[in-house]
Amino acid sequence: MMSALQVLAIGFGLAGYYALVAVGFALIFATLRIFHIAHGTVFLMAGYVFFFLYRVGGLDVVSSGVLSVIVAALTGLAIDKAVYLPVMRRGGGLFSVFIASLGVALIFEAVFLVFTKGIVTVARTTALGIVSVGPVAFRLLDIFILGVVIVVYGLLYLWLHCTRRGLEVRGLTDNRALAAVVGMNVDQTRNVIFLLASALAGIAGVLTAYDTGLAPDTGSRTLFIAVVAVILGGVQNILLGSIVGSVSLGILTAYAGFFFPEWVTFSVFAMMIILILIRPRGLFG
Amino acid sequence: MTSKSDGLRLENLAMHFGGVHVFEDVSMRIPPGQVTACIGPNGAGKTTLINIICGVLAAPKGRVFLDGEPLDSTPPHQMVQRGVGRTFQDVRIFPSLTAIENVLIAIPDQQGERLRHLFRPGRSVGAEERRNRDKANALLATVAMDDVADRPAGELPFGQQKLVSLLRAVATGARILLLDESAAGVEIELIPRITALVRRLVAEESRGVLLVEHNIDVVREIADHVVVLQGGGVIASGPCDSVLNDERVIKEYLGRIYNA
Repeated sequence: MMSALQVLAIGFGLAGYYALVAVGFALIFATLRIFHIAHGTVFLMAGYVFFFLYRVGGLDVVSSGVLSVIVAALTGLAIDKAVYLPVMRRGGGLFSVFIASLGVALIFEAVFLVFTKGIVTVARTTALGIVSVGPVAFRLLDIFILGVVIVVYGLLYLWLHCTRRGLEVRGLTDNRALAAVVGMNVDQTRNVIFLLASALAGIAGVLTAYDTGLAPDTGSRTLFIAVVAVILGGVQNILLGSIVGSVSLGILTAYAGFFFPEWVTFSVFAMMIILILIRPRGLFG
Repeated sequence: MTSKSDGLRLENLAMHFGGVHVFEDVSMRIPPGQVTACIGPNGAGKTTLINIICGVLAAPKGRVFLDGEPLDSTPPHQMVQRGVGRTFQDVRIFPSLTAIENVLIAIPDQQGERLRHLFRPGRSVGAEERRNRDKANALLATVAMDDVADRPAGELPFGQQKLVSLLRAVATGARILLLDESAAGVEIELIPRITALVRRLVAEESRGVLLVEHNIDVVREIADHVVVLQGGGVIASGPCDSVLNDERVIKEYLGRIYNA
């Protein structure tokens, strides 16, 4: 019988994936007011590129991972340049961009379905290592993911609070209209935001391809949980909101998945609705 | 007739909202090194004029030139790069950024501190970054706000928030500053600091200022040139003293303020 502590360990592993996807989604939404559903597409793109480079192409794991993350970053930027920017330039608001993003996500999902025939593709060829601490077994991959999350969040914190570009990002989050009036190069900052957020989703995509494998709907499923994490945490507080939301949902989905596997989706969205009723701006909004 | 240091020139501007005429045929110059005040009753179109200059509103008639070059088709977000900065009548700030960050964000042409610099001991704060901080601190000090530099701007009282937005416009380095009621709502003891700052910008940095202001004492103290906008057009324009003592101006505008 798996112990409650063991489930908690699994929850933290899941939280790592959510946290990497959620923070990029939050970064884009808080600064540019783009409800970037296709962020899940970026995640998926990285995962599949990694699968083909590593599993099919036989490239080593690190090069495959790095290349996949680069492809993810460029995919995110390309979606913005080819879809969001033109829609917004023509006066499209939050809703038009949301619909456009949903369209992009569904198109890519359909394309991935055609190519993979829906079969789950796992990039990994070896078993995952485990370390045991007392009664709890930790997967080495989960520990690695948590390490990545800690480093990523730490660097993001420094970037946001100690660099010029970070100041601009916080300015955009605060008052987008004013950012342009003070002469900020909003377009350039926007590019940086898309590249960075997409690279982070790419890291999560690569790790997922290596860990549990991918199906064409893995991107949107992960994204929806990440979006709920962001809404739970509060959109305006990019780092704290994303991490607290992700950890809460990681633990919730782990326990729900263990005790009532068929109720995972129910529990995630029920939690979101209850929290929105109590705190419409999220925990730290 | 046009030159590099012509400043801002408005030629025969007209504006209407639907069928309501705001003004017709308004021309004026905002030369560098001078404060040009634009006064007039509410609804005369003073803020509208600033919005036209900044490209927020398009005037159906007339042109705007900066140093002889047309400014008309410049989008609002490129105005600062062209050299035109503005403030707003209401408070517009970055509320969760600190007062000093609100000023720092406007300082142009920064390479910025890159993330990798943070990991090199001794170089954590670049020389440029330090210079900018000193500059922002000095600006805050001119309006006695250096002690609240590190407080979130959204937590400051209204008057100080207005000062933050004024300093932000100044920090952009814009050669032409359009100040919309910068003294309104500011604690009375801070007003001399604002006027001193504007005078210094004009005298030492040769910036051109368009001052839209209801406080006639402020206008009297710092304006070189005054334009009175009323009833859909310019009713007087000239050196400060002569305009403020003009009988028609006193009768139609200033008289109303003083008798109110």
